[in-house]
Amino acid sequence: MESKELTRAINAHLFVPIEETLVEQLHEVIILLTADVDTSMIEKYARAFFKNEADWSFIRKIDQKYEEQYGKALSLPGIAYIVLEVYFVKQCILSDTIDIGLKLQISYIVKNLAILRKGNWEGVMCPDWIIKIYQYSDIHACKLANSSVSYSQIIKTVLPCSNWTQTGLDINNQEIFNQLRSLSVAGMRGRMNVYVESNAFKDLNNPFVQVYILVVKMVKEWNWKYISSNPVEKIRSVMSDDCKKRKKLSNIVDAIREDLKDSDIIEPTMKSSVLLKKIHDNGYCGIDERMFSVLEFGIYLYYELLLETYND
Amino acid sequence: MTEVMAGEQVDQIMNMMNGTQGTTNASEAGSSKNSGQEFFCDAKSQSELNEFVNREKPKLVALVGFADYGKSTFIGSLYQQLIVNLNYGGYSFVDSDTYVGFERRVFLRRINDDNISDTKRNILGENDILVFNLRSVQGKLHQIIVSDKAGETYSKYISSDEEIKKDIVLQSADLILFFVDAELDCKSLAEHNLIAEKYESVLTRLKAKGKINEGTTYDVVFTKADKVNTDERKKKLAERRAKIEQLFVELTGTEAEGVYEVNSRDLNNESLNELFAKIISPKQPTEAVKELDWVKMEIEKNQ
Repeated sequence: MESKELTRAINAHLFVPIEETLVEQLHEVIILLTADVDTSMIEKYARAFFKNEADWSFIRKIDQKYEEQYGKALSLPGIAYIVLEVYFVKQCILSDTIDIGLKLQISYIVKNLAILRKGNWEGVMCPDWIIKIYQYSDIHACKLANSSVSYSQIIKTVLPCSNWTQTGLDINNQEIFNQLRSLSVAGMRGRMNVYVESNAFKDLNNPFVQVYILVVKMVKEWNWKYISSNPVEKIRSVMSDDCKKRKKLSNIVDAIREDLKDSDIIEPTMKSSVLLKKIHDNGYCGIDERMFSVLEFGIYLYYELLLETYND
Repeated sequence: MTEVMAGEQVDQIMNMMNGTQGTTNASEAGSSKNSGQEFFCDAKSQSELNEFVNREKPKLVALVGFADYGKSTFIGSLYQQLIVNLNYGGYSFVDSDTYVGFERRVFLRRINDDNISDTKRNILGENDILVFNLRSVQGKLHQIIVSDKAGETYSKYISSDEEIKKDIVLQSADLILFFVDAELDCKSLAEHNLIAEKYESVLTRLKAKGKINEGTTYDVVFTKADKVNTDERKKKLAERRAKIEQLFVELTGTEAEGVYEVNSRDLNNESLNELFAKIISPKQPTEAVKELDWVKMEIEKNQ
């Protein structure tokens, strides 16, 4: 069934279709290769397929594995490797053997590298598969930010006491834990509200600088992923009318670098952190002339920072 | 130069080019060529089409028409325009993997006298795939692939399912150009009817075999428009053109994107250049799937 989908996807890009038997073999090769996946591989492959290219190391891997499995050399048109590249990443997301944490990172890597096609989405290959890859982190994000419960009972109980034993509460009780969790979330929301109302935040003149600091704190200090699966809502409510202001990326980054101290600028570890890298070293990133609104910039940055936390 | 001499001379030249000196039969020449005597940079075969698919599938244009309808003269003229003009319609010719295929068509076009067409442009069985590598003024590269088969191939389609089965081009073509010899069409009603019957037979079979689909993009090209040079002929052509257009609508299920009357030998012909511009323009990229812009989707969801 899956190899039929792969056959359709590959042959849609060819004049002379390749045989289904070969496609079935390619499907098997891809599944075998998913066993050794790591994030640096995904970063290379996703960057390549967003440029409508196939990464050389991927092509070599496919060719070698195929020859190893089937005892003959593989010869495919270039475009078939690009389709296989997206298919490989999709299969990683669907795999039962790959750790959920790694699958989440894979999904975020692809979402983050999609920035390279901002404003230029025509001609992206295998869009349906890429969207499926995106969706994995959307689904998982909802699971992390559990719905909150009322914590009034625990507050009433804990506040008058000076130690846990006095409360008479059972630490192993799931309901108690849920209330504690909700209380933590409320605490973080409170800290955020205090900060965004403070002069320290309001005195930042440039909204792009503001949103940079805001999302850094959301990810690194307030653990926003546990508070809400929807950072967009919060960024929008904090930045309000400034959300729609637009600037070229190169100008945005110049302003951020000028206004922030070195210690505030984050050095990224992931190659998929296109914006963070640009802010850190101001090198050419291929999308320097693209326009971003404050909100768009904030969202892309949030998810780059979120992925970086996996390496903290 | 007599008609016979011109024809003999061309046959000799063709045989030399095909490495079959001494062969008098053009078909034999073709088959010797197909047994391995190809020129470097000659036209490619359909089985080699995937070689041109690298980062994207290039635009494929199929020239369809019976023998002597002017397909090869047409494409030879396009090649000449691109070679001669550094910037033709916003594009410059960079390279081709099939120079010899083009040169052969230009050569045969030149060597034939106006009133002589006793030598077939393309030999039956000869490779038909020609490739243009072009660059836009903005510096972007793209490829155009053209299929220019011998006209006899389409005659064979009338009676042979085997021949139709071998065709890979038509179902993949981004644009099909159906050629009609305008001079022949307005020569007599019998000729017009024969043209119509042949196309009816071919297209019916092609459609039945799934080689032409509903919604196929096509143009109708009336060649040798310069030969339609009297009022009477022009009147006849106008009537018969309408009938031919209607025939194509019935047979393909869709209207032609354009109908052109061209003189392929006149490189200043406006209609010709308009059609050339259409052929060499790059393929439109597939439409953006809006969900790919996940940030925009998130923003819209939260409005």
